This record gives sequence, C-alpha cells and structure tokens, in this order.
Amino acid sequence: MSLIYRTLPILFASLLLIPAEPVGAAETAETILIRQALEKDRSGRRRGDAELVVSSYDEDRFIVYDAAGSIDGRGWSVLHESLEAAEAALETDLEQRRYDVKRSVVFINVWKDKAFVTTVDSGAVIDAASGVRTPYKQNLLWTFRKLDDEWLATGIIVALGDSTAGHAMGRVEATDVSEALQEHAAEWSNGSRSGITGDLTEEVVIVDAYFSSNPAKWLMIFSNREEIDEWLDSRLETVQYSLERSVLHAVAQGEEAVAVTRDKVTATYSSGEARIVEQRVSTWLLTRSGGSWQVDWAWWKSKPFDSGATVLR
Amino acid sequence: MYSVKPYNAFARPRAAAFLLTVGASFFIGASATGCSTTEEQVSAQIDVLAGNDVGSERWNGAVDALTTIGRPGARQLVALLNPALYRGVAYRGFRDEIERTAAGAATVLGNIRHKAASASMGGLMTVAYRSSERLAALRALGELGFTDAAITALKVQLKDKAPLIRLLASVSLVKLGENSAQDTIINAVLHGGQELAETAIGELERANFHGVPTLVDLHRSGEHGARLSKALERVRDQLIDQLDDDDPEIRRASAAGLGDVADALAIEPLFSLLEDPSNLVRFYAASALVRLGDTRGGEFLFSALADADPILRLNAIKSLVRVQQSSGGVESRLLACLQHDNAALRSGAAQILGQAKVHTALDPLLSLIDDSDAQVRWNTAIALGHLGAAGSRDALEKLSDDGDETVAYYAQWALQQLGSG
Repeated sequence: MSLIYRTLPILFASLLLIPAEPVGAAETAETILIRQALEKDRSGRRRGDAELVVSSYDEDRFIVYDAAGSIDGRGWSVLHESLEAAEAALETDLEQRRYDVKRSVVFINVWKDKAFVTTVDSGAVIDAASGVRTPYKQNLLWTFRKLDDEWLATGIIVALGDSTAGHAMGRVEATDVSEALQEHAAEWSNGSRSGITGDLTEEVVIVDAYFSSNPAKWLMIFSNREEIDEWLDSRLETVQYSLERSVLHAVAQGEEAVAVTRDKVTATYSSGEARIVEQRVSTWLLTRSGGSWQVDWAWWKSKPFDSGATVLR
Repeated sequence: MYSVKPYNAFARPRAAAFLLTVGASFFIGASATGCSTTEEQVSAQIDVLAGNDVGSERWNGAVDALTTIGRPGARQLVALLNPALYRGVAYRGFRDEIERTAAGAATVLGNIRHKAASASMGGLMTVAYRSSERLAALRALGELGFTDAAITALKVQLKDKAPLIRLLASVSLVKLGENSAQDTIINAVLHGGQELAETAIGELERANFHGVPTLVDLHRSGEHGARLSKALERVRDQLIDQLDDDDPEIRRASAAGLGDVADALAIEPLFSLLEDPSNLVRFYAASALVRLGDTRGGEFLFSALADADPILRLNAIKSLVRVQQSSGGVESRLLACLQHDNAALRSGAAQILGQAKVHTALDPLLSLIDDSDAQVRWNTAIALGHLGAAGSRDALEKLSDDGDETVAYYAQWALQQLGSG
C-alpha cells in the first residue's frame, strides 16, 4: 500500500482526536500527529486508562524527569527511569486520583524525526477516596521521536517552571556522570571527532537554546549522532575548541541522569585571526549504555540563571 | 563602526578583463586547494568570513573573492542570512561567527545584485540583529533593485533610533529611485556632526549616479565644501569610466549624472557618446553637454527637434524640457525657434516652453495662434494651458473656434486650466 494510503487514515483519525482549539498557521502533518499523541495521553488520564496513556510513549526509551518547578536544569532530576516504572506509577496514581484536565499545546518544534513540545495542563484533580477536587496546573516539556510514521514520546519533564522561576541550586551527586562530562569536554579540546561522538547516543538530539529559557527560541540543531559526526568532520578542520568545564549539577537514578555544566569555550580559526571566548551553560540528559554515560538530549547555551542575573532575558 | 571596503557594483570590468579576473581567481583557488568545485570554494571563503572580524583585511578579501565568484555562490550565501538555517552541517554555534558570515553574505549579495536575496535582506536589517548585519543588509538592499517590499522595509528603518541606520536606509532608498528620504541625508551632512557627515558623503560617493543630485545640492550649500568637491570628483571619474559600459542604461545614467556634476572634464567623453548606438544615451549625453555649456549638445538636440523622425523629435523634446528645467540654458534658442520657418521646430519649441513653464514665452506663443500649421496651433494651445496665464484667455477662446478639431479641443482643455477667473 502506498504511503499516502497508509498515512491518510492516520491523519484523519488524528484530526478527530484533536481537541477543539485553534490550529496554528504553521500546522503540518507532523505537528498534527504529535497532537494526536498528546491527546492520547490526556484522554487516557481523563479516563483513568493507563494503557491508552502509554500507547503514545516509546517503549524502547521513555524517561520522566521532575523539573521541580524550575526551567533551570539544576533543579531537574530523574523521576521514572523507564516506561515500566512510569506506567506502574501512573496506574497507582490513576487509581487514587481522577484527572479532569484540558491541555494547551504551547509550542511544537520539529526537526527531521525529533521534536520537543511544551504543554500546559489545567483543570482539577479529584481524590478518589475523599472526592476532594483540587485545582491542577502543570507545565510539561516533552521530547518525541518519529518511529515508523508514528510520533512517540521519549521523555516528559514534568513540573516545568517558566522564565520567571529563577535559578535552582544544583547538586553534584553522580560523580561518574560528572567525570563523563569532563572527559567529553576534553575530547572537544583534543579535537577528537570520534571521542566526541563516542559520548553520544545514536539518537542524540542537540538543541541550541540561544541563552534563553523560552522554548520558542530554541532550535534543534542536530537530530542524531550521524549528523554531528558529519558536522564535526568539517568543523574540527576549521575551528579549534578549548573547553574548561565545571559541572554544576549531576544526579542519576539507575541508568538515567540529568546534568548541567558551565563551560568556558574558546574557539580559534584556521581560516582567520578571530578568537572567541564564550561562557555557556548546558543542560544534559544522559543514559548509561555498556557502562558508559552517553548524552541523549542536550540544550547547549541554556539560560545561565546566574544569581543576580536578570530573570527575563 | 566597522570599515567595509567600498565596492562599486556598477564599475564592472570589461568582459575580457572580467573573465580574466574570474579565471585567475579560480586558478588561484584550484592551486591552493588542489582541485575544488565552486561550492567548495564558496564554503572555503565563508570560513574565512567566519574566522575574521567584519571589515578586517581578510574578511574584505573573502568578500571580494565571493563577489568575483558571483551568482554561482548565491544559494550558499542566501542561506547565511537566515538564522534558522544554521543547523545540521551548517551549524555555527557562536553569535559572533554568525554575525561575520551574515554581514559578509549580505555585502556580497548586494555586490552581485542578487535580487532574490531581497526578502531575506529585509529581515536581517531589523532591530533583532546586530549593527554590522543591519548595516550590511541596508547597504545591500539598495543594490538589489526596486521592490515594494524593499521600499517598505527601508522606510521602517527611517524611524530607527540610530542616525546611521536612518542614513543608510535613506541612501538605499535613493539608490532605488525613491527620493523622499533625501532630507535625512542632507540633515546628516549638515547637522549630524563630523563623523556622520563623513559617512553620509562617503555613502553618496559610493551610490554612483544615484547620489549625484544630492551631492550637488549639498555642494551648493557651502558646508563641507572641500570634502564634497572631492566626492564629486571621484564620482565624476567613475561616471566617465562608465560611459564605455556595455549596459546602455549605465551609459545613459552616467551621462545624466555628468550633466549634474557639471565638470568640464566630462565634455569630450560625453561628446563621443553622441554617436552611441542607443538613442537614449545620445540624447542624455547631448543634454549633459548643453548643461556643461557645450554648443555641440544643443546642435544635436535642435537638429533632432527638426528631424522628420517623430521618435527623434519626441526624445529631443523630453531632453530639452529637462535641460530647460534644470539649467534654463536653452531658453533663448527655444524662443527663437518659435519664429523658425520649420513648423516642426515651432511646434516642438512651443511644447518645450509650455512643459518647462517658461513664462517669458507667453507673448511669442500668442503670436503663433494664427500659424498656418495646425500642429503648431494645438501645441501652442497646450503650452498656454501649461503656463496658465490669464492673458492668454482671449487667444485660447479664439482657438477654441478653430477649424481644426484638434486645435479646438486643446484650446478648450487649456481654457479649463485657466479656470473660470
């Protein structure tokens, strides 16, 4: 069956599932499919149907992170390190509470077969035992990948703060994560293409956050390791990097970790006299594979959130 | 402020020299890099832009090299104007680096007049971008040719807080034939302080023939006299050089500009253009000669005014109207033509004196209302209508009863111009 005949029913079904909210002018087939996945999640929560909720999650890799009300990565930690753990927690949660929520999709950013999305859930949570209805509002950051024409959530960062939330205090608990990130920085300073890409998962996504905490300003710049490898092939011939890295935050749970680093990046060019020195804060989501920590998602140039810095940038 | 090496897109090399230049560039490029495609050469020069400060010698060198490569590199350069395209293999992580490449790309695309870049350029000059990017885009947009979108985008920049942005937007508007912002330039020179005045004059100097009328107006003001004289000399030399350009439009505009510059050094080069294969070029050269006080220009124009070919007569009329309006240098000869035996000269002179609103021509025109040639009479009626003098009412009422329908029609039209009074 041709692609169009396979895709059209999915698109049609997805249109039926989309809540009655205005569709943006930049809507594409991909964003419609992502909205479908988000609606499955919301609809499953409303119905108390954990199976429907997780049907939009990637069974090979799905992590839930807790942002603890901050958009500063130093406040983030791993909440559930696998789909099984997330599903078990969800089932328990849905037994005890009923979610009467609506979901606003604030922003969808798609690049090739990867995407990130921000949503705001609002409504009420009803306690099953007491019937007490509590107002509910939750900002979420989702990561997605497209697999066999279907968009699946690979991660959710819950309790996300906004740009007014200010900075969080980091803690370096996972020393092995910290060491892995220091070694990664050394690979940049050594100009080692294989060393750099060796610390990345095959499906790694890099986002340039442009020093902003506003996801609308973020740009996905690489959607897999192969792309980065191809970029480094020419990049390292013309630019020499030197990275001085300090790890501000590193926490792990099982095989998953979150970290934040501050780098002083110095770049010189083989084609010219310019020299760039830049301070960068980066947020990393890592996974352990074969005993080594590898980067799976990274936000380069995160908003610094330094004490005393202006909150809004 | 950064210093970008002035580039004049109009001063194009002759065809053979151009090919030699391009050929040499490719040879040098190929020798340096082994053997490379144009795309690779463009990429290599973009890396040079990225690695050097805007306005530095090497950065300017890369701009020159990319300008020489020209349109084959345009696609890669246009991509540099859009920050959303700095991803994947094209990723450049440093804002300073993006600034250097974007400013360089804008400069080159302006130099090679890649009109398709106009829309991207409009975005680059907004306040969200850095100064050097905005300045490069503003300069480039003036080279890319008229579009409504470009004019609108430039007019928005006229409200910018920075005087330099407003100045460059004005100069670009002038280059696009939109003179409404000329006052901004004049203000920058006369009241903007020494640095801004110098920048404004420099920009006008590089604006080729587009900047000449403003430079001439400024020169008349007496301020910055020495600097403006120098600028006019440079423009004069450039315009004289361009009289041999392959493009007749460049030759025409250069001849017109030389008429404004009014420097005797231009007389002989302009005279040689009276044999130009292009009608328009010949007429503009002749007009310029008249304005420079050279009688050979007048001979050419009045000879054409008497020609049997209506196209030549029409061109002569347009040219003489321009000359009369700008310098008044042909008034006496036009008045004399009203009495000439040749009806074409009488008719043409009446048209010119009317369109140029030469009020001293009223009485000589009134003497033509009984002319034996109908065309002379109707052109006299039209001229009287243009002058709008109450003293012509009786004559026009008489012409409105003329036996020739065309004469009567235009006499009625002219009476309407006079109004009921």
